[in-house]
Amino acid sequence: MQEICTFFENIPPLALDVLWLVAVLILVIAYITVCALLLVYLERKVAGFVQRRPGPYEVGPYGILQSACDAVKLVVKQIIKPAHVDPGLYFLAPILSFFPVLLLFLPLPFSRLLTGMNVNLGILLVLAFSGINVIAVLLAGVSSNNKFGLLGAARGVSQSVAYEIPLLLSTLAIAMMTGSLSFTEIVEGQGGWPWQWNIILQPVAFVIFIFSMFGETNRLPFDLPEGESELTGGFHTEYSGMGFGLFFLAEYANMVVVCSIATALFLGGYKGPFLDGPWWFLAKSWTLLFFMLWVRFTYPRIRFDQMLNLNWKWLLPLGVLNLLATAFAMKFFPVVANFFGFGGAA
Amino acid sequence: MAAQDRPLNGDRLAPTTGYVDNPVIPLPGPVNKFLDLCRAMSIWPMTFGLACCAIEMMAVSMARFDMARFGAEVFRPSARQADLMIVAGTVSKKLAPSIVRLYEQMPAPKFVLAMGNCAISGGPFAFKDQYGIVLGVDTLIPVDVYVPGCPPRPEALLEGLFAVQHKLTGKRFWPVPEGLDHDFLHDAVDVVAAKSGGDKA
Amino acid sequence: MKCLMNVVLYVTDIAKGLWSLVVGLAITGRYALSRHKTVRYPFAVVAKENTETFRGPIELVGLPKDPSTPKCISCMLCVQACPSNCISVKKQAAPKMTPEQQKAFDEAVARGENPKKPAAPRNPAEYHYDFTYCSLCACCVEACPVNSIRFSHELYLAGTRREDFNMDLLARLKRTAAKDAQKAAKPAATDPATTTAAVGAGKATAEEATA
Repeated sequence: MQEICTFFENIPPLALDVLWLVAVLILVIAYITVCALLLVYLERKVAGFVQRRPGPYEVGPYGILQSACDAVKLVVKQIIKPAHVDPGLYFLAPILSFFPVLLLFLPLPFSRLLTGMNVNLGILLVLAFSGINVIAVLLAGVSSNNKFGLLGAARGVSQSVAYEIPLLLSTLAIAMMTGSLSFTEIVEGQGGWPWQWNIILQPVAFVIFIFSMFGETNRLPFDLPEGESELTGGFHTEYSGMGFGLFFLAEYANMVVVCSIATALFLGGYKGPFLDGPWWFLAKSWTLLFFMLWVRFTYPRIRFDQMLNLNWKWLLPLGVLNLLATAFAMKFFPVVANFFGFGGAA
Repeated sequence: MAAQDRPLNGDRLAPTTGYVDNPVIPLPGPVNKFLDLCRAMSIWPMTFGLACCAIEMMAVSMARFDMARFGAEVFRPSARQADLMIVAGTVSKKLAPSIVRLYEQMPAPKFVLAMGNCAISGGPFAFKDQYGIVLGVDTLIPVDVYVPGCPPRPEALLEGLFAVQHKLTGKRFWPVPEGLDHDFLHDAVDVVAAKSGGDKA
Repeated sequence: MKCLMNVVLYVTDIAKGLWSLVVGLAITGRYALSRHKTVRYPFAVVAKENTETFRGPIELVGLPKDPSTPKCISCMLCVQACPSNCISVKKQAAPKMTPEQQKAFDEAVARGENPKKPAAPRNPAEYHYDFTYCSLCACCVEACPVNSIRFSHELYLAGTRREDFNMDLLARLKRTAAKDAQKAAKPAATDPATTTAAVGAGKATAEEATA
């Protein structure tokens, strides 16, 4: 034991950081894989139950091996490079869609100690890297040499760019209230019980965040870039096998990331009434994920102009007003914050 | 109308017996069997409902006869992401080039299921001077499984799905229900003729 | 005043819209917790009332006294009635006369009588039916003067060859008559509507098929 400690003390700190990051990335990849498999299965099960049918049932007991079969099938499917596509961009797009998502998991506070990278600018990191998905969608659509792909990409870009702003505004309200952009500090600023969470102080921001969540991840009812009944496959029409698999994986990983961010910002993160820990974080973020799946099979797809109207005419002004109200309240009602047990202040 | 008024059959395409291309990395036998099993349990059809049989195809994906139990409810609209093309309905000559194009866009391993009499042979549209309907989708693309009927019941389409699984893996995984009469295949004219070919009265 | 009314209406409209979102989630949530409507084919089959009115491919009806021979009299009315030319029927040829019969016939002709040659049997020699052209319109069923055609209830047909569905209905009649005779020999023990019996029988046949 002593030798191990001295061994670790003698390694230069830079190498230790690199080793830590590598370990974290491996864990993140494992977590994403498990999450994706579980989410695929849950999505189909929820779809089934909402429609009063069992969903996957025969492949393994209660269908639990279904997503593994799907994954294996996608991996061994023939990869086609259509003629007249831009080969570099065509193969770059799914890679660009998936790999930045790994970075998004780094600042997430799974628990007080279990944070990949406890940086001061966690929110900034997440918002910056989630913009790379926009490029990936655009590349996929444009390089496909397919009119549906192009339409899907155009819609995807305008949708993603539009919904980043209310996302930012609602997170900014929380950050202003807490005084820090670091996830761990934001979670520390909340309490364990539900009335001590940030959602009580910022309900409007929570609602705006929920809407932007669906807009950013291209989930129904905002899934026009991939609009199945209108655009065949949208931006991923021309992708087969593993290319499509990577887009699929990136979409589910993005869902997990935004739900985790919502938990950390609004729902108290890893804090609970008793025993703070990663189990609370996982329980809360998976409840939000389940909510996203539930919404998918409840609402029809929204029209494109309605979606953009919703963003620019409703969410953006509401976000700005919310920010103003927060600033006003912080100046004149610090007592309220203290009463609810919140420490951070301007 | 006498039987000689039946229009001439075009050349019909036969499906290939194995993979369309040779795999890039040849894998040993047991690995291929495992991969075939995974493929059989996760067949993604393509939305190709053309006419009335499409309603029965939708019924198979709905609550009463749930195709999702076998992993096949993920209907992909894009040919590049689909394994099975269920041609459900009447194929017109105007659509024929698109069908061939979509078939060529599907990545291997791919299968075609002709659902309903119109897709198999033109069905009620096969008469003299027919100018607009393709008499059987297997004059355009090779068909692996035929599910006849006008329209076939949703359970028959499930049997067709099991036939595709049988083609992939060589066995049937699900029990045979009481009403299913496998012997009907023995009633085919050429089979009967072959059986009684020796003893001509 | 009107402006205020408009504003109030606008706001209530939005509130109603947002409430409808919640109502929608409640509906799907309630459905998610209710019983499934699935008939889990092939472990279960739909009720007999559905299958008995289903028009499957046509089949011949056997004579009551000789179930493996059809009632058909080879009149070709079904062949003419079918709008899709599915059916093709071949009459049987008249049997050749034996030498004694030929001698008796010639003697009768010499005597000046008008004897009849032995007639062909009524039932057909061949009855072919291509199911892939059929649209189940029942023109043949209505046209048949002796009610020799009816719809079978074959629900689960699927095959890998197109020729599988060009059926020889005489062979099918012989086969089903033999099966019915076999079933009548052993008394039926189970209620045909239960599904567990179907599974048991099904599993047995599946094992036989794979053995």
